[in-house]
Amino acid sequence: MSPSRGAAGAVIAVIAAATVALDLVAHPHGEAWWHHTPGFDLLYGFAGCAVIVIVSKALGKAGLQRPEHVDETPGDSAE
Amino acid sequence: MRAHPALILFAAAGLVAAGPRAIRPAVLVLGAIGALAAAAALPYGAHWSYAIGDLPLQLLRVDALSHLFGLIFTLIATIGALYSWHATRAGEHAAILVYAGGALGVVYAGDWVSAFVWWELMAWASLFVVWSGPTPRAGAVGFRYLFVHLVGGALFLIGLAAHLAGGGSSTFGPFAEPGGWPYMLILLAVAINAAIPPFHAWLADAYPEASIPGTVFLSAFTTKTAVYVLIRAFPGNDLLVWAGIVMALYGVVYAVLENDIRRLLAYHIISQVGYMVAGVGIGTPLALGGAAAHAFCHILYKALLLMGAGAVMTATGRRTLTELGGIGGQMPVVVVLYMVGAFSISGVPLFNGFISKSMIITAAGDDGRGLAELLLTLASIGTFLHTGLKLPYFTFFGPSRGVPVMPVPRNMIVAMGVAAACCIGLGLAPGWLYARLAAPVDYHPYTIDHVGGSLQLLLGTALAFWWLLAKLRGEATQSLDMDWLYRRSVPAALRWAVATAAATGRIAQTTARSAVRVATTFAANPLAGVGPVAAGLSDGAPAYDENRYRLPIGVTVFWVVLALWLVALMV
Repeated sequence: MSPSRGAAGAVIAVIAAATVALDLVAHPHGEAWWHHTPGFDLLYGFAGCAVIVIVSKALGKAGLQRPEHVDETPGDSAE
Repeated sequence: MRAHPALILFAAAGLVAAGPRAIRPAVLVLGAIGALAAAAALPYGAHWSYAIGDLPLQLLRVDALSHLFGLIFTLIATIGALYSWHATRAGEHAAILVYAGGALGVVYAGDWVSAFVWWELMAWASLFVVWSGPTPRAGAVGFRYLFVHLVGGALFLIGLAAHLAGGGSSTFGPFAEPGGWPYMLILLAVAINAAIPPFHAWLADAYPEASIPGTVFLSAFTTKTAVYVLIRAFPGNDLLVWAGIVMALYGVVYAVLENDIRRLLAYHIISQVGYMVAGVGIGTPLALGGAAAHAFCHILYKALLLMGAGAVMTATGRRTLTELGGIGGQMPVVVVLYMVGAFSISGVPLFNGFISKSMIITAAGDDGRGLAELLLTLASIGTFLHTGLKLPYFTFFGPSRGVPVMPVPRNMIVAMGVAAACCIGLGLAPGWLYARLAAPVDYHPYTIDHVGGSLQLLLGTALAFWWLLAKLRGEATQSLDMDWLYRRSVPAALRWAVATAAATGRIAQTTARSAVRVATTFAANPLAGVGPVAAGLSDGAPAYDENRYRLPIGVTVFWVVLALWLVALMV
């Protein structure tokens, strides 16, 4: 890991900790349990991002992605 | 003064198309500014009402909703015109102005028939914007775009005709009795223009093939006009909640797979319009206000993002993540302006997406739709992942590929600067936008829990991006989408139709020839049909000799007399 990435990671970690601390003093707006769970949004952001990438890539491998320009219809190349 | 902003744009379009080249950029910009001034000055109320027979028409209805959409449409036309200054083309920019005028026409229409006519004008003008694209694919893509919008227009027309014939109100507004088949047909037509899956593929297919300024205009009008019609006529339709959620996530999945920077952003149009569609479906005042506010903000930041992508393409001549990388140092102003758009779309506090997207997500929670709230938040994570992290990282910051970077025309930077200033201005002072919504909303985006939650979400996403960086590298692939179905099925159906017609023709020809051959043989020699046995001969059909085989005249006379006798009996 490069020093700049390490420093960026440290900054992110500090900000993340500060926002989780904010959860403890804030008055949540919603009724649902996730509004009342400190740090929920941090975890949801991390897990959601990972799920989006992994599921999308799996769908790509399962057939959504094709080598560039293979699905051109005959008309495309004629234009 | 009451001047329909569309008419100002049409006049400018005429001058752009036919006037001298030297005045073209000025006419384009001044026309758009004139339309913006006219839209801002329009007094609320119903104007320009006419009637054709029993059919009342109203060309200029100004209320809070049409005023808001009129303002943003003319503002983005002005920004887009500035962005185009260095590269105006007579045909393309005339089409762009007519296209913008068509969208404004729908927004200000007070009756369904006028709205439909403007809607079609918008579709046809936008087709010419697509066809003006520089790539070899633009022609074929335009035909697919035409095909989809013709189907949409036909559905709209059939639904509208049935609605009016059934005694429905001609006023362009909510249906008295939602749910009939005319209602569903019009909804389907609007869903096509809003790019709701599975009717969305035309958007990601066509937009990236238009010219660099062309895409900026395309991103603003068609889908947002559809959102306007949804807010106007279909509020609270529960189907739209789930359609919107599917849209929001669908665009995100495809954006992971996409390598072309403008196609990636096009998939995010689908995703962002998903929030608006869901907001319309939720139908509470906060959700409807959120849909309108998000359309307003989205037009600004999406245009800014596409202008940024266009600046990259202008500077490098490249458009895919696998060809780009590490150019940020050579175009720092573009990077900063692009990032304003990226932070806006991602819902970073102090930027305009934060103050509008959150209205819809909060409205979902307030309406007891917890799952919708979570799924829309998930889509928001995907938005930041692609637009805020993946695209800028692999374009501006990632490993350099030694791409030569040319200077970007100054007017492009100015246009991006105006859009960025609007994004930040709205983020800092959301009250301006909230005060212009159709229904007053008591909504405060800058609460501690909301800002903290949003920052957590963004940080969590950034951490996962960091972790999965290797997986997110662009791949030189194309993604199969719903357009594959008609790109394969329509040509296949055409080939089948041609082959079937040809085969039918061949069969008919062969049959006819055989029939003629038999008839000729029989006419030349009736005995050939009777056959040799009946003729009492064993060596084939004899040559026909009329003196030998013709019946005696007495037989004919007998049959005639018999027939006359039968007739006489019946009479």
